[in-house]
Amino acid sequence: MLSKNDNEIEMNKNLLLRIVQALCYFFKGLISVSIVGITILLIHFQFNRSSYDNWELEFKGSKLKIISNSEENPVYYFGGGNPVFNYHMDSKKSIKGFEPESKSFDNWKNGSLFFNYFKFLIVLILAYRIFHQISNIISSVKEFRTFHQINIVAFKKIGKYCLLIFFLSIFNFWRIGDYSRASISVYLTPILLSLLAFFLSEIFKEGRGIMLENELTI
Amino acid sequence: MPITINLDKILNERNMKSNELAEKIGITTANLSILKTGKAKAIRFSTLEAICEALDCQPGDILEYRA
Repeated sequence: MLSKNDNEIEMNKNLLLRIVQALCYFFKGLISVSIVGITILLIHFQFNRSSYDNWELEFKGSKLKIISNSEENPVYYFGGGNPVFNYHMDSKKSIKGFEPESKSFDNWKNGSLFFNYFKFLIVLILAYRIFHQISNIISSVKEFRTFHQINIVAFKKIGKYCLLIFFLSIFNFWRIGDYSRASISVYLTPILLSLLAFFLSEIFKEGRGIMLENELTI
Repeated sequence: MPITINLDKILNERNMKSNELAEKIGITTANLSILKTGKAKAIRFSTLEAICEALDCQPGDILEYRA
């Protein structure tokens, strides 16, 4: 039979736990860099809009296509996964006698720009918090505090964050030049992850009950 | 809980102290205290057997049901 010390060594050697924790640290770093990156881009965009006139936005079904008019002409698709439900309304405002404004990024209207920036920022912060909670759970498992109350709370928090991401991803609004798109998209992944987290929270609650009962068995 | 532990009564009758019993049956005084105060959720047969042997009594002398 393994003693507590042996168990501790075994747990610290657990490769899977270490890999997941390392991945959590990696994603936390990546998200932090992304937050700084998009904020720098936003600030730069405010002061030097003309440097983005090579970039255009094209609405393609439920996804957005970002096209560069530079020589290499790369095309980037924006938006992750396919929504289970999508409804969008496109509109083009044109005034007789005037050329419609192009869809290049320098014509990105501030309302839509800040809406998308803050939405993306909140999603990134929530994703950071999710990885932080997962990392905390793994640390407590390594310290033999698997069924501690903080893990039950951590899973509940992950569930709430995923639910918030689900609600945030529903509404989209883009307005570039005279073109605008308002859409409602329902993505299944965040809601499924949220349900999984709440389910795990309940399992850990049961586990804690059994642990306490075992501790009070003389 | 309607099950009460009469360990104090038996210990008095046998002129034995709690720590002495804990040492005899091989449990900590903290765990014996949990048992005496009725905070325990369950008792193992092995513990019950050790208590009965140490105090020379029957399980019914220690455990009592009060509706």
